[in-house]
Amino acid sequence: MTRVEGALAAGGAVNPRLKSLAVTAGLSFWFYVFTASAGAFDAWYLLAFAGAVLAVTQAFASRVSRGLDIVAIVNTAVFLGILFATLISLYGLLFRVLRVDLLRTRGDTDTYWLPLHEGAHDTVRQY
Amino acid sequence: MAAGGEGSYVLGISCYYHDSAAALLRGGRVVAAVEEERFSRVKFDDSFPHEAVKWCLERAGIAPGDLSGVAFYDKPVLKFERLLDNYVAVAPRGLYSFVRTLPKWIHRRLWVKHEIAKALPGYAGAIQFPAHHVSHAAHAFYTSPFREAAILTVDGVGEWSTTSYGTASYDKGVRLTHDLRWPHSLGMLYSAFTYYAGFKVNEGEYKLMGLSAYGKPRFRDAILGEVVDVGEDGSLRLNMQYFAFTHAAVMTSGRMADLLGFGPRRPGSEMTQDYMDLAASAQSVLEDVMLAMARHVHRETGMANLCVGGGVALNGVANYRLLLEGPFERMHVPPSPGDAGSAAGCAQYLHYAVRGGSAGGGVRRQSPRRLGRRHCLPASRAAGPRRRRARRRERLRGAFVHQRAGVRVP
Repeated sequence: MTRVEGALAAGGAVNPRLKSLAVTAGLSFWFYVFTASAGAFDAWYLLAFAGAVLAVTQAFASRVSRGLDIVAIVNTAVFLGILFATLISLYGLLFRVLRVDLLRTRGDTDTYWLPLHEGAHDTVRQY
Repeated sequence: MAAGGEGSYVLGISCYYHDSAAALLRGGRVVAAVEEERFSRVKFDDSFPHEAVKWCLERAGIAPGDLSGVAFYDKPVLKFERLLDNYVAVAPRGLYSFVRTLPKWIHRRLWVKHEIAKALPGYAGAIQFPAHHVSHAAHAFYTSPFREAAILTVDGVGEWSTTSYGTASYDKGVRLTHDLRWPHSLGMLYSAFTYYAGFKVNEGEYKLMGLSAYGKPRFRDAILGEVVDVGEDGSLRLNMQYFAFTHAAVMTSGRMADLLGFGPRRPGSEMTQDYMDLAASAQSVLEDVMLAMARHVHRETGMANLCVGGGVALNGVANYRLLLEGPFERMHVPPSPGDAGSAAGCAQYLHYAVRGGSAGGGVRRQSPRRLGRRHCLPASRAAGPRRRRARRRERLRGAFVHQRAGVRVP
């Protein structure tokens, strides 16, 4: 999923020509996944597929703008759904097996106040 | 222009969740502060505050290149980490929420540095990111008339912290020492009941507070017995079996209806006594927890002054009870303790704590009231009679803030 697709899924306004590029990238990704998993991947096929999609969507960019939105939103949802199922859920299961209580849902102390490390809040970085 | 100097300009920005705003400081003093909703006419607008930033710079008559520093009110990467950890913890639940939320992060929230740089052409300095609760704490303290004070910030959630306390002084800056972390949040508890009463979360909390006056707190014991475990020191742990906000688009789970005996109210439908009683119960719990927290903070810090910040500090009824029954001699709540005020808060943190800026003339040489007004309220832009009227209003507002802060009600 590209950032432009994320923008569309988040309801942002994007230039139709940019949408066309994003949708081409997204569909090419799935093309690669499907052909590679079927054992039929060829770089020339991928290039031809991407070129064809790009040519068509660029030529009719403004006319199919709404359609491109829908493709991008569905593509994003499918991608994130697979990510959730294959990565997030597996990690969740692993943490559950290891009894790691990420959200501190078990109450086993006298106080729920947690000490902050000295200087923990002193940084002005993004993280 | 010297960083942290008298004439240096620092811009603070808050956005992407609710109450987007921008604030401009000159020598630590707020010269302009405004919420984006004033321009966009979208209530509690969460978009990037382009117009608010533009207005602040225009009002000061400066270009982005004249800024000596820019601050954003939280740490987006840390917040994203909390989000992912949360989804890992609740998986396999949370798929729908994950698919709905992630695009917003990929599109906007993780790129805030880029967005700020784009909105400030000509500004070549660093963009800095104090922690969410530090921004709240800084706004609460640096708008107060105190040289040193205990700090209590109570919010929905920041990066991980939902509530924090510590101390602040002009010499040592803001020092938060303890916190409560996601998902155990007094703000989220109150928002859950806001949702349950049929109001919008992050918007209708003031309605729940108003509604509480019409009911009796008959669910108070049920809430304290089942829904939330509150320690004597005011720390709390939510029983997550009653909540769904970690993994769904709704705030509470079906068990809440089993406990209360009625379901969430449909927005716009008739308001019944049950919801009024629920509002009174939620308000009563909130006030008692705030009071217990304040007593604990007083014991731990030994300070005479308290500054309260965070979205929960918008609850004026709870603040009044803190003032009335709390252990502190003096108390200060800034005019905008929520996320909008944090636009000023992060800039104040940058000016005073990071760059060691002065208090604009020195704290000792000014009366507390004057100092507070200098730091809380931007000067009026109006001219002639309008300006005089506006100045009088500002004086009155300043006086109100500090009279409330300084006088113990018998």
